[in-house]
Amino acid sequence: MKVKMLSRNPDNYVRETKFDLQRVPRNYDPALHPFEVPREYVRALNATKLERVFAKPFLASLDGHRDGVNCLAKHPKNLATVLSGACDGEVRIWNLTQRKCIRTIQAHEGFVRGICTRFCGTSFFTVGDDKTVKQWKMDGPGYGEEEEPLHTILGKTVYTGIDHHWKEAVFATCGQQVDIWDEQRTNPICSMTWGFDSISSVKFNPIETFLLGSCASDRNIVLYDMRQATPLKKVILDMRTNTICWNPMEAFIFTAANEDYNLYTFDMRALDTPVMVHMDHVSAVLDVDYSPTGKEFVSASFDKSIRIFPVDKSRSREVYHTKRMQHVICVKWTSDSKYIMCGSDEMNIRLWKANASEKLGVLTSREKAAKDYNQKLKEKFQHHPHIKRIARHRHLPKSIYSQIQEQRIMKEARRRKEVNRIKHSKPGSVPVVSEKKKHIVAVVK
Amino acid sequence: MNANQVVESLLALSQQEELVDLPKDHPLSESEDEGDSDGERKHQKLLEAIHSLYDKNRQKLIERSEAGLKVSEFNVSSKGSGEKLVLADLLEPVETSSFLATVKKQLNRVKSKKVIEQIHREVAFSETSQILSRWDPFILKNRQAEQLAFPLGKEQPAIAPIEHVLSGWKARTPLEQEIFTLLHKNKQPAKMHRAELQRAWALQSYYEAKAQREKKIKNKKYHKEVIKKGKAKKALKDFEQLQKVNPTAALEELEKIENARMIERMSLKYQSSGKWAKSKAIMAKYDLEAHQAMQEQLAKNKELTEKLQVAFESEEEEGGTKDVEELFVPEVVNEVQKNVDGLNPWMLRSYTSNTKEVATQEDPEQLPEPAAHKVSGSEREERPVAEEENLLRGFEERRSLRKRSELNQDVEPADSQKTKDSSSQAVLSELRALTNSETEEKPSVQEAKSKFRGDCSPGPERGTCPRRGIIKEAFAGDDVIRDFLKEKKEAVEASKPKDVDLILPGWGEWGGVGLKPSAKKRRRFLIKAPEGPPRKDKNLPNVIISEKRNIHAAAHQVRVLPYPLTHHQQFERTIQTPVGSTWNTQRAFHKLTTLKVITKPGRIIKPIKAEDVGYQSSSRSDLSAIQRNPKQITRHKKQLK
Repeated sequence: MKVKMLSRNPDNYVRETKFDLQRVPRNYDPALHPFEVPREYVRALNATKLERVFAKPFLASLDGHRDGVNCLAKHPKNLATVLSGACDGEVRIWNLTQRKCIRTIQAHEGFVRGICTRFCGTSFFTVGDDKTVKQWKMDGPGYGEEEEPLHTILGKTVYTGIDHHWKEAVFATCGQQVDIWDEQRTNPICSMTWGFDSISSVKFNPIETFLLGSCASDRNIVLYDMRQATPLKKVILDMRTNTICWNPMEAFIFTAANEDYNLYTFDMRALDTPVMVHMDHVSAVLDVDYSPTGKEFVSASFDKSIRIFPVDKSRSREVYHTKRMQHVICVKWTSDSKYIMCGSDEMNIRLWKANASEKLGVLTSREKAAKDYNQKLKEKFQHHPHIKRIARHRHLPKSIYSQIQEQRIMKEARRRKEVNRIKHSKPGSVPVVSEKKKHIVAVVK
Repeated sequence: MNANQVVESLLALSQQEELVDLPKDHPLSESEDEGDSDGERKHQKLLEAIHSLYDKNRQKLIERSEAGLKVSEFNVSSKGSGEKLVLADLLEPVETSSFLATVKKQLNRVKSKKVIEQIHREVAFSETSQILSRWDPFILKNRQAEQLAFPLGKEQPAIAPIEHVLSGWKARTPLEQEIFTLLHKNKQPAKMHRAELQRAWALQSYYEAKAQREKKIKNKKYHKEVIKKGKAKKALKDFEQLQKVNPTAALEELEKIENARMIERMSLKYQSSGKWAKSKAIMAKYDLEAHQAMQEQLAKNKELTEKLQVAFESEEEEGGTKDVEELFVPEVVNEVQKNVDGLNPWMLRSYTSNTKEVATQEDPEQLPEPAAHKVSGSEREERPVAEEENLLRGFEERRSLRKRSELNQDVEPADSQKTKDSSSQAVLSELRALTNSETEEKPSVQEAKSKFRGDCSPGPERGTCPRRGIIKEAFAGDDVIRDFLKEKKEAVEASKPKDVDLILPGWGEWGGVGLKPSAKKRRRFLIKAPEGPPRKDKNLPNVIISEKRNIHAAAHQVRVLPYPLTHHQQFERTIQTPVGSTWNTQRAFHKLTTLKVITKPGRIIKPIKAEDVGYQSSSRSDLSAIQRNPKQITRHKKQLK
């Protein structure tokens, strides 16, 4: 009688070293794993729900200022260091890991209008209502030394903003005109104006560093070329632009935070039409900052909330608010693109996660794989109505919610009126203006 | 005013001495008294003319009569200019006064300044946009990238490797320096010493091991050899020493050694392998002497080795048999093996089958050989053609068979339907009348049709006979009604809920290929589907209403095609390919689930640089660019004032 035996080749299931992965024989025959789409759909639904469950973006509140926080600055070399200037002329330096204030300086009398760090991170500059530009050392004074600025420049007019060049010892201030300063001199090496008005903010382009953008109170955005010491172009919008921010990955893209509740992303080569109009805020947008990846930006608004917009979307993907947060004046995205800081009227600086449901800390490889898979599933099924609804749902304060409703009604009424006007007039006599072009008044060469 | 002009005016002065009323060139001369004598006046004028040659600036000096305002695009100052006052101007009416003209001029100047500035701006803008445009391809690439890992460029690790730190270290304090010198100065001799020691240790251990190894060998002969070798070596050494010390003694010694060698050579050890023996063996056939010599040597050999002969004989015999065996065995063995092969049923079968195959292969080859020889080239091509023909014929046969069976099937339901439902039959027949096909083949349908025709229009049937024939011919192939009925039947079948088969073969009984689960089990695990709701097109014979749309599922379905996609099939494809590891191998799973943007915690992402991308950033700095542009700066400084 023959005895049948199972015979197996150990090569097929024994690993060579203990560091190899265990071989798990798997049969990928699709007949054995039916219902791929429904199963993945359910997984995507669960992932979306869990994302909402774990969305707890608020991390910390840095308390210490005795007046509203007017400006924020990041340290270029150190992720944990943040600088903030308040409306009472006080500058504070914070350590984010300890969540403590490590240094306090009474820098100016009146507001600290602007603050910026030098590209090397050894010093920082402040401008205030007392018509001065001051340069400070980043490290605190030694034992027995007094807290004094390295340099003080007394100007003729009030400076309302300051920004430092990304590579060289040059900085720019704005006020009556845009001044370019050499750090070694007490007079500006070059001043640029185009008309007479008060300029509220000036920003250097981080990639093509000789370019500057500024926005003035007469509703315009002006671009300058530092090398040729000349303005380049001016675009006039419906309402005043509060500040602009350049995209750190795309040299010619910048976003302007406007008083008319919208943000406008421009390609600086074609200013007559913005690339995208971002609308979701219900009050004036006061500040904007790009993520270092250049894919998203965060905006701070007078409506007591901050919103995160993808660059190529007109609607925000996220809104952050707390009961205690008042009008948000300044906002910054940290250089590792993981966190967001905002300074608001009620003297606090708040630290948020950029991705609300992200788990902080080190992930195991399996956790990471699961996270990636869930992300992919959410992306894959994002258009399905149930998933879309859950992913989009956000709690809003009643004031913002009711304002959104109200503005929706107003907008609809305006649209209806326009449609009616077109309908009842001679065809072609009333031009149809797209939403993008509607807010641009003129482009001046 | 040029110097030439001044000289000319001087010349003119000298020529026109008599002229009293000269047009006054200079504003300074306005204060002059006209009542003075001619000579004095001339002199004065000359002086002034010369004066004007040297300091022309004074001539243009402007007296301020009111608060001066800077020239800007908005304000125009009314300061006086060095314009000539002409009599004609004074005589003219007030509207076109010189004052207004100057204002106009200034306005023009401002305007032109504005235009120039605009041109400057436009040029600068076009230059800048050109510079920016070189980023276009890179930015497009980044926007379309499947994955972007930030920070983009490869960054140097912040912590230097330990080797760099150690090599960069320098001794500072005197103690450190002392230790440093101690460590580094005496390194070389210490190293050598250590190497020597190591060598000695290695040698020692080697010899020890060798001695032990040799000690273990029990063969006496080996030991004797070793001793002999040792002796020989020793002798050689001694001889060499002797040669150095005492050459005569060395010579004697050499002779001795030579003698020993000769004795050794003369021994029987080399009787057949020596040079002499070999040559003799070759020559023995032809040369008698050589033959004899060999014989002699052999005889001597035998004589000397008589005692050993017995052993030799046995060996030879053995060898002989072996040879014989070697000669024969292979064949025998092979034969046996062949037999064994032949006897092995497995091998046999395969062999026979092979032979059969060979035979079959050979036969057809042999048969068509005479014909194939002629058209050997086209033979291979022709064969597949023949095969195709065969296939086609088979298909046709099958098709005809199927047609026949279909016809049979179709005739039957028609019959049953007729008995069931006469009204639908009437409608059907109407449809059929429209198409006019196969009237003769189906008598039942023909009957109904004729009945129907008899009701409404019996007349024209005969008259249309030829036309009908043509139409019939034209639509000979297709039968629309039957197709429709078939389609509807299929749709009804498809929409019926299916029975759920939960039978798992092999559970509770034997499983395997060809085994079917028992009837009992089948009965138990086959869940019959409930009758679905009645179809909407149940009473509409000419209509198929699809019942695919499920309201409950529709709530979960995507209603609008997402933006970049253009066709619903694209979207379906994206949804239908599973991503999870349940359906994909590990590697594919990793590839499918890569994120679009990857950032590392705690790593600063800097703005992109031209060097990262491989573009040439401008070598000169922005600061130096401004400083080289003094004209621009002064212009702006003027503006500031």
